[in-house]
Amino acid sequence: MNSEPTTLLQGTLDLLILKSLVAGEMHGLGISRRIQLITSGTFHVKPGSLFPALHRMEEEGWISSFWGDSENNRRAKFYRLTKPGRKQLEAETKRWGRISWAIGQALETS
Amino acid sequence: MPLFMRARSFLRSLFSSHRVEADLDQEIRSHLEMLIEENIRQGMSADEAQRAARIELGGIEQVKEQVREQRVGNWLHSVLSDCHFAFRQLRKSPAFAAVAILTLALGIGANTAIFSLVNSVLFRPLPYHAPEQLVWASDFMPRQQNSILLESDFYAWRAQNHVFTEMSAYEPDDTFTLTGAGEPQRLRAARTTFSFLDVLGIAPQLGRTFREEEDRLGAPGVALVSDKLWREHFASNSSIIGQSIQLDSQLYTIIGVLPATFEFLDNSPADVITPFALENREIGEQKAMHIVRIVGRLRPGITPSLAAADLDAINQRLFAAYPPAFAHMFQGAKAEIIPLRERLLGKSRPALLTLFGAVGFVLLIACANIASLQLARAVSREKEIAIRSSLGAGKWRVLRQLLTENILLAFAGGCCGLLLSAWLTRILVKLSPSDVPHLALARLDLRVLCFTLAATSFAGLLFGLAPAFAALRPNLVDTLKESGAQSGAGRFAPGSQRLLVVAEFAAALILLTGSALLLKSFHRLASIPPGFEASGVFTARIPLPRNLYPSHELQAAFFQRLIEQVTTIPGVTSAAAASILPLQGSNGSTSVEIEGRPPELPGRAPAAEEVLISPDYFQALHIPLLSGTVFDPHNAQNGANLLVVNQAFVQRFFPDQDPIGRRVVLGKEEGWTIIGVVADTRQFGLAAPVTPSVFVSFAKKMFPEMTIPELTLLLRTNGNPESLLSPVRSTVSTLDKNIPIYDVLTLQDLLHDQTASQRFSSLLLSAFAFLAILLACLGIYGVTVYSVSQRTREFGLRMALGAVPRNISFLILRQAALLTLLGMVVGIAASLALGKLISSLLFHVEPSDPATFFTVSLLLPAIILLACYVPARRASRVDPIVALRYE
Repeated sequence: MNSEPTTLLQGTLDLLILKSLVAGEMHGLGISRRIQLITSGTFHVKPGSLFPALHRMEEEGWISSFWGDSENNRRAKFYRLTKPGRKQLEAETKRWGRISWAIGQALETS
Repeated sequence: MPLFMRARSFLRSLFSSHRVEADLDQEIRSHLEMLIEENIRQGMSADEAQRAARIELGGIEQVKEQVREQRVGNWLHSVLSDCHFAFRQLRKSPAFAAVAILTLALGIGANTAIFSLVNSVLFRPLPYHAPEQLVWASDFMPRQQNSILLESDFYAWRAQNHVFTEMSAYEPDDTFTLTGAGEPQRLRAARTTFSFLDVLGIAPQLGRTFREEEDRLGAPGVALVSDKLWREHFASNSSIIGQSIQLDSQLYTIIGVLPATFEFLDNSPADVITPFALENREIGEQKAMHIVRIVGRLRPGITPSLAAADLDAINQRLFAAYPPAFAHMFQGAKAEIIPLRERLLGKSRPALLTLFGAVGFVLLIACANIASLQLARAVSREKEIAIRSSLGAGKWRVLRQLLTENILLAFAGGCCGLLLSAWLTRILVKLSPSDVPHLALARLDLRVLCFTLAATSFAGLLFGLAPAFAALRPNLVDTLKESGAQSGAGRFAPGSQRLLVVAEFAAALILLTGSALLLKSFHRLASIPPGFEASGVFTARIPLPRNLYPSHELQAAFFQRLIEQVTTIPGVTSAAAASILPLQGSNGSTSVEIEGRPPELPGRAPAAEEVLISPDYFQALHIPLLSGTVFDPHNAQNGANLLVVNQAFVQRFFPDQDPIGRRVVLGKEEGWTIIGVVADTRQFGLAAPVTPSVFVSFAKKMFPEMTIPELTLLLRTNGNPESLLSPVRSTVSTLDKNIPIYDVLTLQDLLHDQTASQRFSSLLLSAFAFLAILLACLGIYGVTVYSVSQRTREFGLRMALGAVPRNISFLILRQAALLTLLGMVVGIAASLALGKLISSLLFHVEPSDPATFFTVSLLLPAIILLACYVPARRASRVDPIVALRYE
């Protein structure tokens, strides 16, 4: 695990959260661990960034929440992707693809 | 739907905030517990697992705060909670809140009250169409220091100018007696040329305005009546157009009713307007020439200076054709164009703006006071703020909280101030001099409310920002570590507080100096002897209708009978009549030549004021006879040309000679013998110089066409002069029921009016200065008390080491004296700089009057040091043991 995690680009966190929720509904810690997993440990999302983002995205309507039981039978708040959330994920993925392609191009040109 | 979700979230965080909060709390807590479980699963001990989880989470409260800031309703919610918290904070220190709100209420209340005066007088739009194009025009004559325009020149200007769309001549202050229906009534009247209402851009609410052919000598009489007269006398009857009314026993046809909002020019009300009927005559003709006032509407784009240049070009031609006497009088005369607004309001502006500025200083002092109190509180609140910061409150959040508290305070003060101002405005209107136009209309309107809102917000920001920034010190850890409230105090507060005290003190000094100068000039003015004894004299004007009393003989006989009759009213000790009262200006002047002397200036004899009087005039007014004799019923009527003159007349014409028995030529009438000399009275007002005057008996017919259509009755009584009104009224109507009496006032009122505006501004400025000193005293008292409480331990130590109480008091007073001295230097410098601004309000006092400055700079420090004496004494009584154990 990276002790000094890479700083997240503006907007990247939303994309990562949306992406991780594609696998199914998850609570905060689950999302955090899932992001760590799918980025091979590059991004470690701390609660101080995660929760504000989750609440903001819920207000945007991209995700919805409900209370449920965790794997250890602990009450936890779960989040799931909504329809607008899926659309947003598509749009964000496209956008990100363009950006990363462009940046890659820029860096390859010497 | 995002919008719907957002709205729902907003409403949720507003109305079910505690459920949302509980939800959030549980979410974070369960997250923490899951983290701990995860750590334990990875093989950590329970303690280790908890610690690692906490480190990763980074503080429950901080995370919650970060989430809250993301919410849509967060902004409003936090403002509400700020307000709630601020309210609790203020309730926790009621003494502070009360002092602050009271101080602000006084400051804002006084400001709002003065602003509503300024608003109603200076900011009020003139009730005419496009008033910025309206100007007043005249010829300024440098020789006479006077502006007049001759009627023939009005015609030339009107015909030949290129700068006015139209101009009209007018004459205010005329009067008519309305008869034929009920009691005879004296009406204020004005005369104007036919296009007057067109120039002002006003249409009558009923009927029409004058036609050109009605504005000629000999045309049948027509009249416009005011809305007030129409309502009061004609019961708002719309059929009065075309009806006739009897004015001075002549018939006039009413052709129109003026709108209710109409105001005649020059602050002179008019119930009736009749055509001027001027004549376009050659200036050399042997007939009296009207002097007229002109109002004109400038063509678009024409400035007053361009207009003056155009009229001056016309004047060049006019003056060249003047006969020698006129040419001499008008030598160097220039056309003078004054914007109408300036003419109507210019005189009241300096006094009102001075008061407005002064009351602004009061508000600044009030703000400085509260800021200084807040600084003192900020020191003791350092810990609270540090705790809030460590719990996740951002810098701006803390700043906003402190500002909210101050703005809440400001608004509480503003509301109280508004209430106070409603009351103050009423009092000010009552106290105000009558010569300020529209002042009586001062009231709270939207503009005043906006002003109050602006002043309140400004005040809140002003005294809120300094302490808020001071409180936002970066170093949390030091603050939390510090042991007592005392240790952190030394860094910012006293410095800023001292600065505020110096500023307050300087502002108070400026106000005190200003009010002292005004008071001195008021005293100078009020202590000028008017030359007569004002108390106990009743006056009223008695006009005689021209058709009933067409000749001097009839008029004189009526007045003589009237004087005989009113003498018998119980309480009347002497009765007299005169063509004009002292202080009221001129009723006409006459040229004077001394028989046996060559004329002083060829073709231009010096002039003296001419006053027609009854024999007992000097006795009724207690004007002392200096030599010779005055009129008596015998010599007043026997046909001899007798004259009483005043002392100024003697100084002017007989500086080293005995004037008694000398003969003079008055106008064209020869053979007037001086029989007596009386002391001077102020004819043109207290502030104006005494002019040479001649007194002639009204019973004496000076020249063949002479008439006396009106005299003022003067009754001296040993009782209350106001009680004479009804007996005088009944005496007059017994003699002739067609004769009204008007302008009833006591001579004391007349004298009082002379100093009214000086009294008003000096009284108000003194009140503001008093308020300012009170606030400044409170300010320096607060700072001293505070610094004493900060230094208790030091004083204890000093006393333990052998200092006596006197040393301690000295220490404190020395600090106060230093601040005082600094404030004084700044204040005196500023007063000297600002003095020019009030010089137009001063009478015979220099704005840099040394005596005033000397007194003020002794008085204010004495008051301030007295305010510091109490805390200084208390400090000197500190018990060293108690003080050292204090911590």
